[in-house]
Parts: sequence; structure tokens; C-alpha cells
Amino acid sequence: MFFKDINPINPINHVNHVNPINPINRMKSFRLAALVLAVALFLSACTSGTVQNQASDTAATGSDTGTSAPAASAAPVSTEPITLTFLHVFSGPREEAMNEIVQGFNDSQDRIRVEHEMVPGWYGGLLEQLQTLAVARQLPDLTIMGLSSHNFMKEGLGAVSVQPYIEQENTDLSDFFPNMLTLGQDEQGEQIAMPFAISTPLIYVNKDLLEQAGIDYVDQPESWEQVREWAKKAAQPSAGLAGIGFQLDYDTWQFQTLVESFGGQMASQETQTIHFNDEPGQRVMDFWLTMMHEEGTYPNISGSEAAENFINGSSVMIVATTGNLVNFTANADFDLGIMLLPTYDNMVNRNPRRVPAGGSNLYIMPSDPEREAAAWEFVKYATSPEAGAIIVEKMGYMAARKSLIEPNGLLSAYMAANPQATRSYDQLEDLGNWYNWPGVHGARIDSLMLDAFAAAFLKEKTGEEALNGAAEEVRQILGW
Amino acid sequence: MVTRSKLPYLLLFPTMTLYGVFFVFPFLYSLFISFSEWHLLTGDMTFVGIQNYRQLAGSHIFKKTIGNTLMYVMTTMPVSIVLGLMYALLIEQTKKAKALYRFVFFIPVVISVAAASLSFSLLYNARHGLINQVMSLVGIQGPNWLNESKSALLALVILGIWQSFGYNVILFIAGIQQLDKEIYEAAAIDGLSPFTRLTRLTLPLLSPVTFFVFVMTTLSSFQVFATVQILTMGGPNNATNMMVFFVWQEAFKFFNTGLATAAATVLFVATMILTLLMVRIVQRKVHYQ
Repeated sequence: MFFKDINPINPINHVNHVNPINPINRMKSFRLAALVLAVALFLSACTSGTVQNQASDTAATGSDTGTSAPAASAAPVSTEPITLTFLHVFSGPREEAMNEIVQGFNDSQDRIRVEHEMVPGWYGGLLEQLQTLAVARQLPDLTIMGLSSHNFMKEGLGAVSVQPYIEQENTDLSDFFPNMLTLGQDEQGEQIAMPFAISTPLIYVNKDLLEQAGIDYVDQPESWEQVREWAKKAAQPSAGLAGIGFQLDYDTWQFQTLVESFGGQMASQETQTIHFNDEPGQRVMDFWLTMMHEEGTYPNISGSEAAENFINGSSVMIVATTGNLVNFTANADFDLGIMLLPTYDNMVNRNPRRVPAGGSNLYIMPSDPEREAAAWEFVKYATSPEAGAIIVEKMGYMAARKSLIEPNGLLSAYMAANPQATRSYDQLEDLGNWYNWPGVHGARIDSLMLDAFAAAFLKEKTGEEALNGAAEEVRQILGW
Repeated sequence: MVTRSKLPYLLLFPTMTLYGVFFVFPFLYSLFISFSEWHLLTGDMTFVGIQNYRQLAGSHIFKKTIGNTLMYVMTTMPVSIVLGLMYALLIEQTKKAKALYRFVFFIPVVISVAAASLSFSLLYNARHGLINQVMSLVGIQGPNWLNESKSALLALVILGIWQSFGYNVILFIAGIQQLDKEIYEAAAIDGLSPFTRLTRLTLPLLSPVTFFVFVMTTLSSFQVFATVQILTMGGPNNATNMMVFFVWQEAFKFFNTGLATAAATVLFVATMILTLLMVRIVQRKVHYQ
């Protein structure tokens, strides 16, 4: 991209070609050409600057709209159909589910038409795309976003708060799980976005392999130490059978899960101190490194390879998001078990389970009051019980509404036929927020932490060196 | 009435304008940004002097990307050239199915990088990938291709060679077909062995093509990006982070445009110097008929 712009050969040739020779008339021609080019460049620069200013203005306006004035009341009612763009990250069968939701909304009325588009690269890829679009002043009307970027969506990209709409329409939110609504709120409790496709980490188990190792399957493991013992007992590293896999491809969600379950925390914004390298974090690294280097039960492979191996019967367990439920259920040729996260870290420390929520919220992005109001109509539909049922059944995520999983709810038949789909709700009371790094540095911090894990996994650093080094870098980035 | 002396400039004007707008201006603007701190979302731009270049000089990741890129270029480029030349000579010596061979070797060039990278990611799966499965048949335990530092870079090198050597085959074939047959007839009358003909005639006569292939393969190797992004994302622990990927990551993932453009400028200067050196030094050894 940048490299193309600065092609190393052509500029040299270009300079040689336009170099004017002596005659005065040629000089005049050259000056004329230079003037035209300069005007063109000036216009480009002006346009560029205007676009940026407008983008920032829009972001600021959107933010203001969201926090103070109820945009819905100011929205002029137009008879013209409105077409809204909606970005998400889901592909394959999940994209078909998104299509079903969007189609359902489009068919339910004839004033607003939503067009959805999948952005590759998961939440990281979507965040990059949104930032690029914001600079070009082409933000979509609606987007989902991973919970770890919730603060940035509001403060960085000016996501429009849904609170004014809720207040104006007196929207009944009592059917939503309260701690899922919290995931879309800011620190003051204002509802910025609505929970859309929520997940928790679960331990997926190949029950056949567990049984072959003489281990009794349980829904609720006692401790992570117990899980490690199972992995050790059931794995056959020399035969290529792994004991367990973790997914650390894109983010530090599973690290946070373990750190908090081991009694620690990622960081404290109040005291501006980093904590992921404290004793609980070091124990998490020891936990991983012991399984990887000493016991050979946790192979150093990517999360996608780990999932592939699990489906192919080459891994006894994998810690993965609820969102894998549909994929694993459809493709696993073995008896699939789903365990909740262990109750404690170990039976000595007895630190209780913490479950950072994963998944995404649904955001309205800044545009104009009429489009934002139209987007709110879609948000209501996409978080309705009908759409929620599609999200659960066809995407494997959790229902944000309580009524869906009640005995007579829309999903009662599905839940009866797929009792494993109810597992996530059993750890709902331990649900917490996915840690949001302050400012705009979340992507860089995630990246450097993943590099630190990789360095420890490759034995380039000890676990302690890796975590302490990462903590120091984060401290410098945040200026703490 | 356009005078004869002005006509060339008039004809060049549209091209030069486009070139100026789409190449020269972006480069100069990029150079300007490299001395600034530019917050894309707010539009705030502050002049920071050489701060971005200082930061770049102190970045262990950037130093690693330079080493990785040089290693990639120094392995991909020679192997790709040697394989290209070898297959071109073999194809030109076959009596049958020349077109088929050319077609087969050219396939990697026209396959999309994304499709090829995704296919190779399956081949490189440590447990179920075809490469390790085949290696295990002969008793060799294959590496954990994409998750270990050395093998991950090797995996990218193999893919890079696979992608580029087919193009070189076609270029060498075109060069071989233009060689003067009379020289070979004279050599045969003089009793030169096939090996001597290759080393004393074919290779020197092909040197202009070889030089072109050398320059193009070197520059395209420096630009490696898509395979890195799809297969490894620069990992593990930046073991496959290359210069262009670093620029992309800083610009579009971390939105640190100042540092990204500083890195892009360094890359530009480095490749420009390299190109000039190649032209000055290597071209002396090129034999033009």
C-alpha cells in the first residue's frame, strides 16, 4: 500500500523525464505544468483536510447527540426510503443467520432497508476498517464490535448512545439479563449500545477420549488444577493427541479469564497501575508453560489449529467461546461435552471463577438524526426475542433476553433438544466485563501481550520475563 | 497551433499529471507525515521533527523486521531465480508438451495470493497438514510450521518461491527463445559439451534477462505482505514481521501514521539505494549481444 505509493524506481525516471532543457519556451511549458500540478495538490490537500475535519466534527456531533439531546425527537420524518449499512464479522453459517435477521427486518416494514456486510479479520479487522472509514467520513450506520473496544467505540469513534431513545420510547428492558445490559453501558450507567451476540468461555470436551483415559465427565470441574490433571492423563503427546488448547490468536480474553479466576486483575485505571504481571498472572503463565513444556499436553499452535484438531479428534479439550457451539456440534464426530469454567483456580488458594463476557454489542454510528433514528429501529429488531432466537440457534451465542430460555420461551424446544446450549447461562452470575484499555492503544497492547506469550511459549523468555516486559511496555504506552 | 517543440510535453502532460498526483504527491505527503504526529480521528497534526525516526531506530521490532526481510529476500530471490532458469532450460529441451509445462508453472502466478495462502495454511498444519503427513511417511517429524520462529519464516519463503518462480520460468523461456541458434551450431561444430555450452554460452547470453529477473524478484521480495498477513500476522513473536507488514500494522492497525510513514520512507530509501547498487554493480557483468 504505502510501498506502492513510493515505488522506488519510477520517481527517479520521472524526474529525469521532466527535467527541462534550456530553451525558454520549454521553461514556460514546464512552469505551466508545475502550476497545474501544484493547484491539483493544493486542492487534494484542502479536500483531505476538509474531510478530516468533517469526520471529526461528525464524531463529536455523534458523541454529543448520544449523550445529551435525544436524537429521535429531532429526527425529521421522511417519506423517502432509507438505506442503512451494517458491518459485522460473521461469515459462513453465521453470516446466513445475520442475513436472516436483516431480511426479517427489511420485510417487517418498507421505510428502512438495511444492507449488511461482513468484514474479515474478526473484531480487530472490523476496528481497523471502522477507523479507516471514520477518517474517510464513511462510517456505517450500524456495526457490531467486540466488548473489549466498547470504550473506544464511544470515545474514539463517537458511537451514538441509545439511552435517549430508550428514555423517549420508555423501552422495556426488563427482559434483558441485567449484567448483559451492563456490557453496553459506560461508567455512568448510560446505555451506549445493546448487547447483541454475547458469549462466555467454555471448556469443550471430547467425552470419548476422556472416557478412554478413565476420567469421569462432569459438567462442573472443581479447579483449573483438576483440568490440568485431566489433560495430563488423557493426552498422548507422542501420538499427536493433545490434552487441551486455548485460543490466543487475536486477543487476550482467555488470559484475562484465567488471571481473574486466579485472583488477579489486568490493570487498575484508578491507580494507573498494571497488574497482569502480578502473582496471579505469573501463575497463569506457569500453568500454560508447565502444560506446554513439561507435560506436553498443550501444543503451541494457533487457536484455529487447536479448533481444527479438536474437531478432528486430536485434542481432548479446548477452551473456546460459546460461539463455537454450533460449529463443534455440527462437525464433531464424537460425543461432545461442554464443561463450565472451573469453580476455583486450585483447592489451596480457592480463588473463585470469574467469567469475562465475550462477544459483541450493536452500535449506532454517527450520521444524521433521521438515519440514527432509523438505525435504532433496526437495533430494536435485532435485539428482539425473534432475532435473539436466531442468534442462539444459528450462531451459537447466548440469548440476552431471559424470556428466550424460559420453559415456555421461543427457544424452549431448542433448549430441550440441545441441553448443552444452556451451559453458558449456568455461569452467568460470575459474568464480568472484558477489560477495556484506556485511550486508543488497545490494539497495540493486545498485540504486544500476545507477542510476550509467544516469546514464553517459544522459550525465548521465561514467563516472568515475558509478562514483566509486556507490563513495562504497556506502562510506557499509557504513560502510567 | 501547437509547435513541434511543445508537442512532447503536451502528450506527456496527462501521464505526468496522473503520475504526480498518484505517485509523487503521496510520496512527498508521506514524507511530510513522517515528521509529524497525526491523529487520524481528530485530524490534529503536530510537527515533531525526527522523533518518529528516533522511535524507529529504538524499536526492537523494526530492527527485527529488517533482519527478517533481508533473510526472506536473500533466500527467496536466489532460489526463485535458479529454479526459474532450471525449469526454463528443461522445458525448452523437451520435445513434447512445452505449452502444458509453461501453463502448469505459470498457475501459481495467476492464483490469488489469498487463496494460495489459505491453501498453504492447511498444508502447514502441524498435525493434519499434507506436508507433515508426507514427511512422517519417511520417518521425519515435520516442524510446527507456523508456530515456531524459524519454520514460520521458512514457510513464508517456500510460499514466496512457489509464487514467483513460475513468472521467472516464462521470462527465461522468452530469453532462451531469442538466443541466436547459429552460435549454438558453431559451438556444436567446435565440439563443445552441453555443460560448456550452458556455462559459456547460454548463461552469459541470458545475462540481460537474468539481470532483469534479479532486480524484479529482489524488489517484489522486499514487498512481501499478503502472505504474512494471512498466514502468520507477523508472528510468532514478530519472527515473520516484514517491513511492509510493519508499515501496514503501524498505519492501519495501531493508527500510528507518523511512525508508519517514517518506516515507509526508510524502506523507500533502502530499496532505492539497493536498486542503484544493483544497476551500477551487477549491470557491469551483463553481456549484451
